[in-house]
Amino acid sequence: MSNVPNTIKREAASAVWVRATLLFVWVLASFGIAFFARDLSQTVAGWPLNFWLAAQGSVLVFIGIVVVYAWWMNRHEAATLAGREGD
Amino acid sequence: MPGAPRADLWRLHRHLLLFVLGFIAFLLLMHSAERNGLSRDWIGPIFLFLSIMLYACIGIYSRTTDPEDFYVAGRRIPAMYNGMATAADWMSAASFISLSGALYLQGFSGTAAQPGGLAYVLGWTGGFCLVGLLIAPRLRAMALYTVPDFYAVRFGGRWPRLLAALGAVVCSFMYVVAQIYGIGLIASRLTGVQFEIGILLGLGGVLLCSFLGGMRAITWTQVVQYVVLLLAFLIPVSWLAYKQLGNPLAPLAYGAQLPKIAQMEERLINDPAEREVRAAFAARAQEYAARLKDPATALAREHQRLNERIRTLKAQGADFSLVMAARRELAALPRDVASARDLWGRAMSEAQTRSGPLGGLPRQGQAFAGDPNGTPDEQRAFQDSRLNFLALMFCLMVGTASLPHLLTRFYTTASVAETRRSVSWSLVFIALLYLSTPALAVLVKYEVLNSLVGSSFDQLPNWIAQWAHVDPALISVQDVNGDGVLQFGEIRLGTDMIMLATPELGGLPYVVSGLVAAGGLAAALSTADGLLLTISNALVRDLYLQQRQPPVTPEQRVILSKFTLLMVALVAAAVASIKTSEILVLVSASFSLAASAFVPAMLLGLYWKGATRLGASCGMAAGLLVTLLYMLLNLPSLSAVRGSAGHLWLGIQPTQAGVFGVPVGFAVTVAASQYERWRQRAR
Repeated sequence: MSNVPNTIKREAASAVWVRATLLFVWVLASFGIAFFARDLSQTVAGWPLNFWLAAQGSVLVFIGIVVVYAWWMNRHEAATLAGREGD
Repeated sequence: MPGAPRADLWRLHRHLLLFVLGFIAFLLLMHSAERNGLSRDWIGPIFLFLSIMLYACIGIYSRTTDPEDFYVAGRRIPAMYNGMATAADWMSAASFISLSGALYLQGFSGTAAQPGGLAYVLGWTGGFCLVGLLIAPRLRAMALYTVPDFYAVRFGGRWPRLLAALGAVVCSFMYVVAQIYGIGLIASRLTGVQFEIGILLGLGGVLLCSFLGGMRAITWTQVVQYVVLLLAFLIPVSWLAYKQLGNPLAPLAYGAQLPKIAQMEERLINDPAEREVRAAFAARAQEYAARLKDPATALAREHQRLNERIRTLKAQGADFSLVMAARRELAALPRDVASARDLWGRAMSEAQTRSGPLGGLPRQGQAFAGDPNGTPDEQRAFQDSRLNFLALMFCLMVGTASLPHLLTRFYTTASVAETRRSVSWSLVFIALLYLSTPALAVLVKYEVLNSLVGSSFDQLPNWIAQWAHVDPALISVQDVNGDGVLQFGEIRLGTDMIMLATPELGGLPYVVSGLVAAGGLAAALSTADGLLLTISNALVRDLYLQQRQPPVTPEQRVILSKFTLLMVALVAAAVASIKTSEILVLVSASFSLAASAFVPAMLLGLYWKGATRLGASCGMAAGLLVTLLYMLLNLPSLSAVRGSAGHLWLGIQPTQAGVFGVPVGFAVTVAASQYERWRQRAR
């Protein structure tokens, strides 16, 4: 264990929670929708719901996930640095 | 210093805007030239040569021998431009050329034996959540040069780096072969030269850029290539959507075509002429099955039958072309029993597929094959199809999170915060294209069903013959039931030609065809650049230089990298010219390999202090081995024949072998790490 590296930093609990929540949303939007695709074949506003969700809805959710994460983490990191309580 | 100074950024924005405007002006110019009688034989080569020249000029302009520039572009690429370059790097020939074809042929989900369709869209975008949330920022924080560097820094020792470099070389090589195949396809269609010469032409462009300027040149070339490929995709889609629906915003409007396609498919399934075609294919399949029972006798019988026919034709004094046709048929007979078994087996499975409704294609909007409430067989088909769809999605997502050429792109930003922003930009730029891909597939299907099906064989558009000339495997149209009318079941399109043929199919001007081909070329070249650089870096930095005493200077190292790159490119071109597999199959397979080799040790290394050197080495080796073995055991299904192999676990197809490799990798990494720590404590 000579080189347990400094690459693993202790993170604030809030960062861990944000990441876990976003990953949960990711699982729902990808595997959840794909698993239940056959049951979602209603038509909504002229679109077959399952086709729209898999072809467009999920992709938009993925974009939302990475954007929210980047925005939140960058803000959080800047605040931590400014407060001089960083690890 | 976070990011480039503001003035520099504005200068970049201005250059980009000028380039976009200039490119559009060039397209308008070409369009008016075509109207005024510029020959089609010129348009293709003009697009090909001008775009390759453009990329080469950027490569020459940003040439470098500085290692920091060559390997990580000086770590000063702004987030948005790195996002664009990543998008171009990411969207390969598979995304641009094959994806819409796959969505056309496989519909929502494909079948159990060949899952696909929207799994590609979901997998290739969803993977970025893993990259952005778990991997890229932490890797950037370590300020490395290559992905194997991570394993060396985190775990130390020789083996983790060696294994990672080996994995990087294997999966990137598979991937680059697929890109070069795409380049050859486009170049030969655009200029009419042979496939092999087309490969060499495209390769010149790749090498000029990556050879001279390394990562720095590649980055700016990729930004330009992104613009080219985005316009090349959006223009035909918008045009088609405007033609069919009166609304150029294809991703918002194409939903209206889905119910219409479902209706037409329903009508085709019950159409008497289509039924005739299906019966003809069923008869063919039976004929091949009968031959396969005793290939030796069948082969002899076929020889005798054809020889006799040639003799009677000659005796009757029949037309010379008829005799020649019979001679060709005789020459095309398999040489020996083994090749007869192989050839006829493939022909039988193809005829069997095409004897199904809609020529064996799943319905466009139906999620998964089979029926969850039907007979036990249908239920099993449904479960298999859904499982394989989910498995493919999993492999593509996890593979995205570990492909070395993608991860190194995030080393080039100025800070960790910029890396996070850059991942978001990448996904936005990728989605611009991916949201339109299903639209294109649906619009093309409508076009085929609506205008092509039912037309007479005397008046087929001539692009069909031209494509068949490039490679007969890409398209085949035969009057199977002999009524002189084209039925849907009589058309067989290859995945890799649908996007490239879209402009001709929709009756757009030939300039758009040239543009689409240039876009496909940009997609293939940009990915090939990144991959070749990754492979040569892994070979030189991680495999060769680690063993060398005394160490070489950084300049020598760059020169060594450049020549390795040249060698790798030539070997990949040689492999690609054999035309072994479809682009998508190769690409999916390399995703599976990358996922199982890199992800377990990387994630555990980044987030678990307990992961040790022994754990990482064993985990990577085990993941890679399981995946490779599963693929090799089922090798026949990696090439054209699918589904008949007997060693499948849980009915998972070999391209999705990562589903087994990744968990095995995790388990072995954890177990071996615990073992090593226990040993150390015991001491």
